[in-house]
Amino acid sequence: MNVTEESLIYLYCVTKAKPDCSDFEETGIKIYPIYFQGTYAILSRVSPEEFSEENLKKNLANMEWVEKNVRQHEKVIEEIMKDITVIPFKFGTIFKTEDGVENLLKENNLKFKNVIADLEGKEEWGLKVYCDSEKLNDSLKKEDERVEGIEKEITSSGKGKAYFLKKKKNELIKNVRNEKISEYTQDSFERIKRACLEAKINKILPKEVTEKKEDMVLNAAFLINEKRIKEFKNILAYLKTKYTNKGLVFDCTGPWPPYNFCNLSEKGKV
Amino acid sequence: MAEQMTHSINATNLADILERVLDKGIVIAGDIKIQLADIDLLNIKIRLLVASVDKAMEMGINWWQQDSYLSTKAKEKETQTLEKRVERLEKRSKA
Repeated sequence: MNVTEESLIYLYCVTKAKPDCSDFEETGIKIYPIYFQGTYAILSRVSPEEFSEENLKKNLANMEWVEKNVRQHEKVIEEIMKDITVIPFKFGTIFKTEDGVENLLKENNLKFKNVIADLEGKEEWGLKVYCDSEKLNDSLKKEDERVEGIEKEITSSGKGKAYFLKKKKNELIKNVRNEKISEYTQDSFERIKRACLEAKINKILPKEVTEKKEDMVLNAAFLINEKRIKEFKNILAYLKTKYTNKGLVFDCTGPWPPYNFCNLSEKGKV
Repeated sequence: MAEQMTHSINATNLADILERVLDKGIVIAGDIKIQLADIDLLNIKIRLLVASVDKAMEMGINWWQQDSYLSTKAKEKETQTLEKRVERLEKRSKA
């Protein structure tokens, strides 16, 4: 890509120390910082063919393009995050001029500094919990007295009565299931929260998004002091032992850039 | 023992990245403003990600909606109730 006058500026993140931009040479992305009073904006030049308002809209409809560029956005921020604290920006934050970026740093100077100071030495981790329905149902049959009782009744009933009892059983399992899932996920969340500075519950994502065969039952993000990561992982290991045979599947990822914990309006006390 | 959880971009589930990169992170309007919700041809995956529909209600698993610390909706309601109360008190003090 030629760096022409018309090229646009892509903003990845804001930091308070200068990152080593040579790390990115092999990826083909030229990253560079601009500085304003103690804060750096980490940028790269992008082509209007991809990132002008109109073209970006078109490209966002193309999943292949989205995947490539979204992974690149994440990769750049994660690379920088290895050495310094970052404030990650949303994908596709584009400026026309460097003056525009400098204004951003100027206007939010204190907010950015406060947020970075707040995030120093902390890591974001994600936890998604899924539920294997069959496994859960099996465990309910064994463990829940109500379900167990009705099962017994069915085996000792005639055909007609058994039919209605089965219907009743299915309804019961459905209610007990949600009760149990709530109990298990709440317990998991509360236990993990004890090792964390902040905890957040996000939307449960549908299968079309997760591409998993199990239903998602909890989607949470945690902000953890880096000194307590081991404790966090131990709790997670405990939860796996406790809940795996009840059908829960724990999917933990991290450390992430603190996307979930860098709210400017909340933390930007002037 | 906690098992090892490695994290690499290439191995990470795309949904995990999309969720954060498109739906979270600092939103400061750059010179180019994109509203994902306004894009007609948006991939269904992304639309479902950024749409406000939460499966939790539908599934009946929503214990956290009762927790005012966690639920913005609950928080809003709390604020509204407080605002109304302040209004009432103000009216009364004027009268």
